Amino acid sequence: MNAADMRVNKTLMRREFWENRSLWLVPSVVAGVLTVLTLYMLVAVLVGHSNTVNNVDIANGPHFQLDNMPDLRDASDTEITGLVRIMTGGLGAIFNIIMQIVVFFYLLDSLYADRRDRSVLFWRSMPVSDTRTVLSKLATALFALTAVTFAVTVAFQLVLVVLELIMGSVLGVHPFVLLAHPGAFLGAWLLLAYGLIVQAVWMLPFYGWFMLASSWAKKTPFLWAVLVPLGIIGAEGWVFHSFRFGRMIFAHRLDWLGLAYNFDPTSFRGEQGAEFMGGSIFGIGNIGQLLASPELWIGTVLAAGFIYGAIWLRRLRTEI
Amino acid sequence: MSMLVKAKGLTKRYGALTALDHVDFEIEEGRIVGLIGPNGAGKTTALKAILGLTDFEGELDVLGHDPRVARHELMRSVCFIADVAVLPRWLRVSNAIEYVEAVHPGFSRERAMHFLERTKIKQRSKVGELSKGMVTQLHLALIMAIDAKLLVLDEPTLGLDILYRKEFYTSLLNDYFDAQRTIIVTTHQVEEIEKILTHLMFIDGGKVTLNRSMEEVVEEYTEVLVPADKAAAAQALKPLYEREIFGKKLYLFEGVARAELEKLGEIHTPSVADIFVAKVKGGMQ
Repeated sequence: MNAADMRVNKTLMRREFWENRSLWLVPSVVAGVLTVLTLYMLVAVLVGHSNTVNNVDIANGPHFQLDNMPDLRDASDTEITGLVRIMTGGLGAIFNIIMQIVVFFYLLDSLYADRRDRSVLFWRSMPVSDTRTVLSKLATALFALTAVTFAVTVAFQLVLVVLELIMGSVLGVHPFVLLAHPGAFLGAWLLLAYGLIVQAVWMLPFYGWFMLASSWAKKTPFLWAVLVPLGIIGAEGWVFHSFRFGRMIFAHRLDWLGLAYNFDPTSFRGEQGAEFMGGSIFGIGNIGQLLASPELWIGTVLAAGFIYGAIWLRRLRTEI
Repeated sequence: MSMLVKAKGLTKRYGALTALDHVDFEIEEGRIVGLIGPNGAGKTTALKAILGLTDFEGELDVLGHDPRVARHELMRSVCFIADVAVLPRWLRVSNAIEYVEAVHPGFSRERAMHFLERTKIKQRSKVGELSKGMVTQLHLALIMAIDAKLLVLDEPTLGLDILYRKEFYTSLLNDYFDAQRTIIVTTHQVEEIEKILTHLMFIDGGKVTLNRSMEEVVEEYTEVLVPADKAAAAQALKPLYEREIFGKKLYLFEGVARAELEKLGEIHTPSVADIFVAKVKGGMQ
């Protein structure tokens, strides 16, 4: 691919972010709100602390017991690693869910909005092939799901660490414990990036389906995207009294977690909890097994079919 | 002179409706073709077929490409403005320029700026904040800044005031058009483009009813104002169309020698609009 081609691809994706500001605005606003909430809690803790010191009790307002806070100086390396991974994984999960919702609506609109306002006639008056247009929109969705989620998670986590340092130094708790473990953060971020990429590949058939619905619909692509699978589930239940199609869809959405990570939900309980804290369970799983999983490849082939259909319809359904 | 557009047996059906019915036409390089027809006659369908925006039956060659399969290659040398303002509301003027500059090899930022300088459009504005006329101005500035072989304009000045419409056609002729370029234009304001056209093409009921150069049209069509006593003689020459004006009869003839018509009365060169009305209504009679 030459420089001019790269420039076209870059501009096509920039175009998507111009039109769909929610792709970066929504996670940024959520991160901003969470930062404000954290600040509020931090102030509450500090106020609570000085109250205890001065033996004054304010009945209203949050009150935190300093005694309950773990002293990180006593923590082992594995415990710190586990703590950072849980923190990263938890924050990543929050922003991941938000981005999944944002991208769902983005994809539903991606090949429909310009037909609704007829600006498709302008876009298609440019020497950009339909294939390239559709793929640029898919690439934007995948970029938003991985890079944006990753960047916002890491940025917000850094904000939290800074706030924690401030709080720690004010309270006299050794503040630099977390900074002494940069490897724990790098490892956790690597794990997060890996998970986001695996998930993006695993979920491709869903994204392809949303784009197909967007390219097909003459109105409300949302209904096509949702009602068709619901219809199949309903018909199956009515005719065969079974729920295989539905289970296949819902199970597929989460199966990647078990394959990508050494992730076992039962490890949350009992003695294994310590091991979980150590991060040995919540680590990179068997990549070979993941790549050998027929579900991954069937999904990818399905996704390719849906996207081919979306490109093909793009030419035929210029006007609603 | 090379052929830019070649259509043979071009047919388009929408269900039971036939929008284009085995149409044949050719458009040579360096022409400004006015495509005239009543609403629903097949003008827009013909343009869409040329631009690769619709499927069709028959043969159509545009710059050596089949527009159905090679739209994006075609769009390197073909520009068009559809019949409505189609720039999206969220698009910023500066972004629109950035986009076209990146994806279109024939686009010149300087030219676009040159056209935009004459308007009140600001770089920071979004399309949704511009008036209808300004959106059209922006679109025209973007398109005219592209070095294209074929420019297709479907009602390009819709929603613009008279001042800007005049300015647009003048700048189209002076700044844009040259012998290497070809323009196809449709409009309901035929009188506005009459003077700049080199060729005229009528479409009616899915058929091409006329496809001539303006010189040929001037030679071919004559309007004669005939006093009542010579009406019978005029009728004998089988006029295409007749109407009454100030108690006299106004006849429009097709392919009748001027010398012969001069004997009947005062002769004029009819306007394109008159010829169009005569062709459409005459065809019905």
